[in-house]
Amino acid sequence: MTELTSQGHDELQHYLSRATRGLWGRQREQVRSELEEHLLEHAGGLIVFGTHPDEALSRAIRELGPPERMCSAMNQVYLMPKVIQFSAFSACCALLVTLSLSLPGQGHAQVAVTNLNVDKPVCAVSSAGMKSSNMIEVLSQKGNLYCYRFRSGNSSYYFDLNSLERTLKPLGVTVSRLGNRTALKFPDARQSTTLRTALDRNGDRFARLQELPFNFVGSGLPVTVTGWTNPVVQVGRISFTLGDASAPAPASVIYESVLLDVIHDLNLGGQGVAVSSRANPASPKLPYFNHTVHVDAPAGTVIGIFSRDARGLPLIDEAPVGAGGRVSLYAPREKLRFVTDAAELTPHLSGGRGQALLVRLTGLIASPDQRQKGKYVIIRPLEEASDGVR
Amino acid sequence: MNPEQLRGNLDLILLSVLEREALYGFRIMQEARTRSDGYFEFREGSLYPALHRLTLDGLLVTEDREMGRNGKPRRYYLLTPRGREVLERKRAEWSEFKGAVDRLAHSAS
Repeated sequence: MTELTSQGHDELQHYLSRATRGLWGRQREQVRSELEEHLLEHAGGLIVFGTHPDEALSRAIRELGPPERMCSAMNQVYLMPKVIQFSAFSACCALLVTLSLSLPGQGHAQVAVTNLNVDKPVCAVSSAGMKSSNMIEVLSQKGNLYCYRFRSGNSSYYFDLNSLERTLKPLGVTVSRLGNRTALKFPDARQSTTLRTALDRNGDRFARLQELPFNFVGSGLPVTVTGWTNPVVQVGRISFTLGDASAPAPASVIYESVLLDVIHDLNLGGQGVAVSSRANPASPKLPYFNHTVHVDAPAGTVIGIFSRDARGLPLIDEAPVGAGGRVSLYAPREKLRFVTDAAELTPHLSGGRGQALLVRLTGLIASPDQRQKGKYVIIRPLEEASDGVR
Repeated sequence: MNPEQLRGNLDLILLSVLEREALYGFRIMQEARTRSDGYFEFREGSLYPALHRLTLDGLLVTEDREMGRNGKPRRYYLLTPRGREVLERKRAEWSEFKGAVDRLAHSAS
């Protein structure tokens, strides 16, 4: 490998980050690797003839051309068919004016979402102790503090904060940064709302998709989500779409967060909660029963289900209503009876059936009054019981 | 050389370079320069978008081979059967064009 000083290394990484801006996931990694190899090989050839490594790299970068031009050309190859009449060159300008993946014809701005594997250990305090299992590997222990990692990788969905900024600015949202925090002041908002950068990869900043409801609550405006794949988020009168066809953004991650709030509103929390994690591709096969339930709600309405397993641990799951008003939901019990009072959800079988409660999500994910009531309505399905299948 | 001429014939040049053997980006650029006796000086930034476009169009495929200087596999480009067909067609078009220009340019002399 070509040896670089830290200055050369920084210059290289800065160039690669700018030249590949707007590309996604593996595509971006491949282009980045290819350009890196090109620059190192070119620089290596110059070093052989006596050029200082940093100067050799700078020259190789100059000859490859401005990163904005490379970025623009690569985005034309990969993104232009989706971004009709959109200037790829402006998308890559150093001032980050664009690349919001705006789709003017559809009336919605678009924010990039990606699934990233963050292979960092997670540390947690556990008085009950932790052991390695088929899901996790315990890496270290100090007293009650355990550090572990997920065997299948710790992948999560993130939305791109740079993309969010570029999308919201033309819509009249004022953006300012302080350290790893980004403040957004929406046109009708009394105050700014603050987003924290959860992950920074060479200047590409990401926030967790599951935290999106909390990210905008500070605006004091109602925040709604509609749709299941590539949902539309509306903050006051500003709206944008998450992800696109090539990088689907699962709304279930957001609805799951809302249901976690609802579960406290229903007084079902306390000893922990299990979530079905439908959207996580690294999830092991779910050990639950699948119940197809008939509800009186239009297709696309998102339904949440709460139930308890034999230990009393609540499980939440969520899914959109399909054709004929049917929705498929997970529960830990094979046979269910539906109730409309959360107090009736017990760890015990009654008449051979566990209990479950259904809610219809309204789409409101952050409320100006910061209460949960407007986010859900308890519903009764058309049949009072259900037999699930594995 | 006139950059416009290079741009207009970039696909023909790249497909021709890859006709003999699979190569990776930097070597493609060097090969084009060597085989044209230094005539084709690529603006390097145009090389990779063109290679990726030809790959998306199904004229090239890629293959990861030996480790490069960055410790990752080098990405080689190979001509597909469709790429060969397109190369032949572009060659024929070029010959026809060149013949017409030659005839026109030399008609006065």
